[in-house]
Amino acid sequence: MATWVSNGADTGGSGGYSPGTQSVQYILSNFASSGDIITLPSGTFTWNTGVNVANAGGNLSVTIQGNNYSPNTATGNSPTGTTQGCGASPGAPTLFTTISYAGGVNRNPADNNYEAIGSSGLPTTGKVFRVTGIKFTGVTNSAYQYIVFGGSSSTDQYRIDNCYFDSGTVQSIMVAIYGYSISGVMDHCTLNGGGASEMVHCYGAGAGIITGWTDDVTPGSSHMLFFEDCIAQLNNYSSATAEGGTSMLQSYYGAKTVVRNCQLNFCQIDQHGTQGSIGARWFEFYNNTEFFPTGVTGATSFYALRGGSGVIYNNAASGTLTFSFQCQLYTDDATSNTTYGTAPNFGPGSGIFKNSLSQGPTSSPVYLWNNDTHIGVSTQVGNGGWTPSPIAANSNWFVSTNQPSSMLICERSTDVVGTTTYSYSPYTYPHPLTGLSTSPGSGLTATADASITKYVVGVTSGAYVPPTNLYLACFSSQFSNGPKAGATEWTTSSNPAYARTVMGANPTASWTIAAYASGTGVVFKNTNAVSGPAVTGNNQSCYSLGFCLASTVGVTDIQLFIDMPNDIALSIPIGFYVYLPALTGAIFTTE
Amino acid sequence: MAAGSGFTAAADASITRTLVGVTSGAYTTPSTNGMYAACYSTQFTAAAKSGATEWATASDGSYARQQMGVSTAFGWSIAAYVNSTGVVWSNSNTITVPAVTLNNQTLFALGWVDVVTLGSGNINFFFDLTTSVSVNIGSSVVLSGSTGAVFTTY
Repeated sequence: MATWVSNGADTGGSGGYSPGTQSVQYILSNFASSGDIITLPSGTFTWNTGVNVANAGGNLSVTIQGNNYSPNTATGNSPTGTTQGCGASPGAPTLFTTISYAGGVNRNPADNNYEAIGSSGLPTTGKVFRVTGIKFTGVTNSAYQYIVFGGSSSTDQYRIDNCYFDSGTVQSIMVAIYGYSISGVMDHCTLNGGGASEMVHCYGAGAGIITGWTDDVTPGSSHMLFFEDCIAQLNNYSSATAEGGTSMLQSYYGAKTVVRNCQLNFCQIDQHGTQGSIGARWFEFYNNTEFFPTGVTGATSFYALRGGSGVIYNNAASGTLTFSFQCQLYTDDATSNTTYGTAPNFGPGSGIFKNSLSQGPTSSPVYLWNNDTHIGVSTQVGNGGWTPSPIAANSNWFVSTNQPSSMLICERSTDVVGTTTYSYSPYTYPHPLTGLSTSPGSGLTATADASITKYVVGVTSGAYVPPTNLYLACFSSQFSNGPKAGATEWTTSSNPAYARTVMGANPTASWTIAAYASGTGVVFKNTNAVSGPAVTGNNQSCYSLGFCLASTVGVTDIQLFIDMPNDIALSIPIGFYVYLPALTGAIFTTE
Repeated sequence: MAAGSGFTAAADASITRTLVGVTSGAYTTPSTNGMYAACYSTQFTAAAKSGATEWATASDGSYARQQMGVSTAFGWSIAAYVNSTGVVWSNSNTITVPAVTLNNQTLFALGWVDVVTLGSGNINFFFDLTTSVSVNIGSSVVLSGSTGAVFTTY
């Protein structure tokens, strides 16, 4: 792997490699191989042609990287969006490299269209195509994009991270991704688009191609387009009065998308299903929060589902919640389109095509659970005018408080309509391509590990201070098996009833401690049942539990922790509470 | 039996009590510079983490537990917690046990005890040697500084 230093321009250069003097395209065309990194310096660079991520040998999977930025490594949904995004977003790292691309000057040789960074398809080198640490600005038309790339089910993947995509007031499509079986992730990006922007287009197999509906879909698997820890927002959303169809992403033509732990500031997510066209195939949308500003004047869409199937859960709404906020499931078909056959139709709830034929409009229902009570689930008359809407609860979709233990599915060639069920679990979070993947951990926190060591050998400074009792605390993110630190505790601003809960009365401190056992160590567990206060205000996500020295919420005095197993956060809706059964709720062992 | 290292079984239990605030049977943090290295002719083992036999002055007339050092860190260098490694702590100073007299000795484990008096105190942590080492008359057990006794909490 080599690192090539460009001068930040899109075109230009001559001769042998000379660091900092040649354009990105010149380096791509003459020196780079898949796996290499091409850096841009700090500053603003105006691009008129853009770069084709390829050379004479074919397409490349390289990293195009801005200068000197600190990547955002925060994970987990934050109701205020402060853990997501990059660039100008609150609390997010600063970017120092800006590409100003208006579009419409010279066509990009990647596809003869207008885009700043283009690739006609990822190769099969086993590398990752990556764009990171760059602010994109200046686009002047929705026909011009900042990044366009595609791929098939190959060994190459993509990652777009720590970038800021801004179109100001311009209606835009800033990123376009082609491929129905490609896999990769956009993470820690901020997308800021003008009214009616469709900030990311997921084009699946492409217009008119049905293959994205004929392959097997495995819920919770990797071959999807992932968006996580991002912010998407309508430009000047805080003073806007209507969402106006502004969308973080729109999916078409058999695309399979996952959006999780993202903040949507007055913009929706749309899954296409236009009659005669080929709609989105599969979606998994969870742990997202949409913010609604004070000026909102009416009912607003959170999710617009016009095709495909999937799961939608643990989503929250914040801001001004005067009007209803909708997850809308509907069809764009005309009333006359009552047969199903060669094109996905009837809106959400249909699944795989077998032998090029649909298995029916309710063959693979959508499941929704534990979404904020402010988010309504409804249907409406779509663009085709089918009245009344044929899309209905308990056939096309199901809503429940908790995740159903089994759900109907017809997304694989072996699935039988009305019979085959599945038990859903999400794909690894954070996405492994982010390098931020964690595994659940438990035991001493890093702080306690160090202090107890000092206590053991007799060092007094920084030594552990034995508590008179411990207090149970709840966290919305993991400590993880690596850092054993850094989890975010629940707050009373989000859950006014939240408080740390004492483990029990002294002198026993309510822990049952077994004698040392060979091969096991010392097992200790909570003697009594411990209940936290019932959640109020907003639904909560519990990713780990901590045991702290003090009762004061927010004090970083956590001594022991338990992450939830399987990398899955528990949803604690309003009115529910965390409960540790006696002797089984919290079990630790020293080996 | 497999060689072990780390807390003895007794310390494991007492530290757990300290951790959660149980006072009865809790760990007693050593007094200032009150940790001593001791030599054992048998292993503690990974399973039992107890039961090793300490050398005795009846067999080695000069044998004595050795103070870890007199310093603010009490002879231990304790690194900060490292992701996926834990806390690593090691002896700051070279520790030399008096040269053996009377009879050749067998060294199979080392332990750290909270009093200097032989036969007394709590053995808090240890490490076994994978194979025993003969320490003949006139020879000494030496723990080199920083490398002689290295523990990790993982």
